[in-house]
Amino acid sequence: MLHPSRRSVLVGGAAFTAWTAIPTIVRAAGPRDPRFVSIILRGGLDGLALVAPVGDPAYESVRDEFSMPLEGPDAAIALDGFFALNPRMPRLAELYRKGEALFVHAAHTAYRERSHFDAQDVLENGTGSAGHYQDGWLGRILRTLPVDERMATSGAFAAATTTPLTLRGADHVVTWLPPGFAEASDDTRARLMMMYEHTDPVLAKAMAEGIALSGVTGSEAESGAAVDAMLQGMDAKGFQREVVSAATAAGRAMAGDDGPRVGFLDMSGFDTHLRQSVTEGRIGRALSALDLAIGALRDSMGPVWGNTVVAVMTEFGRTVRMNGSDGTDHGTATVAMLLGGAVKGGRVVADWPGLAPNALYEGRDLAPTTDLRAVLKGVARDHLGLSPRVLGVDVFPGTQTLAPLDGLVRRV
Amino acid sequence: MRSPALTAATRFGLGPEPGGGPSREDLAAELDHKEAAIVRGPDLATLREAYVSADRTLRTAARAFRQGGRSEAAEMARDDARQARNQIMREAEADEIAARYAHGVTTRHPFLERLVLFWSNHFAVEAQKVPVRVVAGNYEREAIRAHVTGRFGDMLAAAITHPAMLLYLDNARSFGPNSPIGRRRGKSAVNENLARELLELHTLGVGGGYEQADINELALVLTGWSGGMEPRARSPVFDRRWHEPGTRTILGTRYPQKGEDQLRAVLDDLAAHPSTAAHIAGKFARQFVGDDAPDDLVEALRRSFVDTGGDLAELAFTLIAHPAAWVDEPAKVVPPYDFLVATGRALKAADVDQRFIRRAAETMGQPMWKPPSPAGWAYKDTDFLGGDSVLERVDFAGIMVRRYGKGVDARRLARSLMGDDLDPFVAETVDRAEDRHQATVLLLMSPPFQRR
Repeated sequence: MLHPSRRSVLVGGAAFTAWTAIPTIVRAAGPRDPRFVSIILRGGLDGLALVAPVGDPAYESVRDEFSMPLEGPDAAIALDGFFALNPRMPRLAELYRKGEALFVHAAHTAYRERSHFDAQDVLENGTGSAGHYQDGWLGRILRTLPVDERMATSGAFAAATTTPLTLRGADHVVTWLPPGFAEASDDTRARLMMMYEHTDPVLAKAMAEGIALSGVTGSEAESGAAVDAMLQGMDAKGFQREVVSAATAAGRAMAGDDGPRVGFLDMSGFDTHLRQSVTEGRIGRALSALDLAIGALRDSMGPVWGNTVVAVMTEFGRTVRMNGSDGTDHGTATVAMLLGGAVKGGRVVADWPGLAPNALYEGRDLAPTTDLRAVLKGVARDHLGLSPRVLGVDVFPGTQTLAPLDGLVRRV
Repeated sequence: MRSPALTAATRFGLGPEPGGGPSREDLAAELDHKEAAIVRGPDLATLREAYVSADRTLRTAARAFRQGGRSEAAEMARDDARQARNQIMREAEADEIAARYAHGVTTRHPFLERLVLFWSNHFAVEAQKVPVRVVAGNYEREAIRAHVTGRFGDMLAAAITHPAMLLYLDNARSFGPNSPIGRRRGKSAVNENLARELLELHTLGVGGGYEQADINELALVLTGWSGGMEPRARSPVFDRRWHEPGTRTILGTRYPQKGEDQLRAVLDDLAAHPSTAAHIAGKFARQFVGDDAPDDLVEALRRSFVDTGGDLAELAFTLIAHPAAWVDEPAKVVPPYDFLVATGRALKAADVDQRFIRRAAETMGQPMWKPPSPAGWAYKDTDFLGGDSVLERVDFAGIMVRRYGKGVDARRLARSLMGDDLDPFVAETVDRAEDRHQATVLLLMSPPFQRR
């Protein structure tokens, strides 16, 4: 069994083969027609509860009765001998086994305080400081792409009420929420469409766009059926249904030839100050929902999953020790994930800082060792074909010296 | 050619009106009825007291639970205390949403209401943090409505010193290094969020001539303005113990005033600054008339703002007095909340469950008091039309008509609301609908309800 020393780079399963041949100026993405999805877990996911460092000698003492069980019906899923996955995530485990999931542990944003709102701003705007609302890093990526690029022309799909900060700055973002009200009949829609065509081109265009969108995400009945299939036999809460609906709609929209190439989803429920537990409790419920959403996204994307990278991230991690309410408080580093057929997965990448008391950030948090922006830059360079210069100046301003992580994406 | 009455009802009002829209004189007359913009509700002191007391009880109970061996009884007491605090928040929100909607549907001064919506959005707060959710509606009533035909400087001062704004933009816990608290703790915690937005969004505007140094100085002026909803033993709106003493220099002017007077002096000068007049004039013109509002309209508004010392009734009058504001081609999409109110007015449905209002606003893309950033809703000409938002509007109209439009004769209503402006194609679509329900839905979705 691999027992990594502190600060070594971990490579679960396969070796960390650096492939450096990727051209950085020439557009590498071309014929692959890549797709990219950003999933934000709001509230601050406890990285230790999702991917537990069961091989760390200090792990059991800090988590005590809430350590991940290694045997029994709820046993953790071994990833690489050092890390183990929460058993509430069977679909994610399957992706990992197929080499389509990669974990980056002790990942962090540029933010070091403890406010959710500011931390989410920093995560989404990619600038290193809160209070910048004009545009987000993914919006800037889309704006930077050549105008004839498939990814730029087909726009982005956001399962949100309004354009999320991550995507602000992009020219064409379609927002979508699970159908809120009983739908008007096709007949009413057709009559209205005809009225707009004769009276108001702006409304006619918007109506046509809405109808086209409901065509790709499926009618309420169709997507409802897909969601039911996914939740079959489960005692699904309203909240699970909501995230599965959003993931299904995003996946269906992105699966089409004419569909958007970029997607955005978010989900809350990770601010587990109280009764977090580990396989049960709040984190168990939130992770179950996340696992269902991941499965729904994969299933609904169909064959295009093979050209997809999904980045799953959160604004910060949580305290290493449990608090007095069986929960954890706001912390610093945590785990991030890359999922999809284009991911060179089946491994955990970590410059592991350790859980010993003197290794903790400010004596309480998992220490930050891998900048999330280096991960995203690696994906943006190798999957979407952006140059490191653009990434360091325009997309993540001021990060010219932060090298993109190599080898995150499969070579075609 | 659209009639001026329909332009007035849509561009300056809350949708088509039975019997035709108002004249320019009718609109001007609304500006003399400042009391008509008022919505009654609990005052700030009452809400603060209720919240602060419940929050204190919660904190005491939480401490007792943590320090007292985490007994089950103590846990229950804490959870009850949290319930009680959150109940105050939920009730306040429910009452404010119901009151705002009912006022919008029943007011005979819809132009005033549009001005309220403009200014409430200009001084946007987001009802996200618990204490902000408690007072967001009060903020609109006491800081915005009360000054909507008054002076800009008064509205500015009322908005900036209201706890909703102070807490939303993180000023509540800001303190300077030489404040009594700063000295005792041997550090400072100056938050510049509010100072930055105050200059960039509320007054001078981007490129309005300020620098980072001005933001730093203004942030120090703002220290001590806690909003009075903090869990401290004593929590006044302005807390001298947290205020950084000393003279500050902003935009070249020295402010030697002490305590609260310092901020008031700064705000007076910012309200009177030429950049503020230019910023407000441009935004006012674009949001009422369109993204391409002509320069001479903007210039007339700017001059009015300067000449009258920021008189907001005069500003509104200048808008409706200008020919460019009356071009008959609609430019802007009616935002979801305004459409929601217009639907309520057309169906005479003032008493609607606030949970439905809240959900409808959110589903159509404009959740109440939850703008995407301190800049508020952008209100560009075709904003709010993305994705499937038109379909959401149809579905919303469908529910409203089912619940509140039983006795409505859409054919007659169409003629009453639009008179000679009724587009023959709209008339035909409504007249040939397959049933009464569909006819009314189609009428509510017709361009005069969606574009202005």
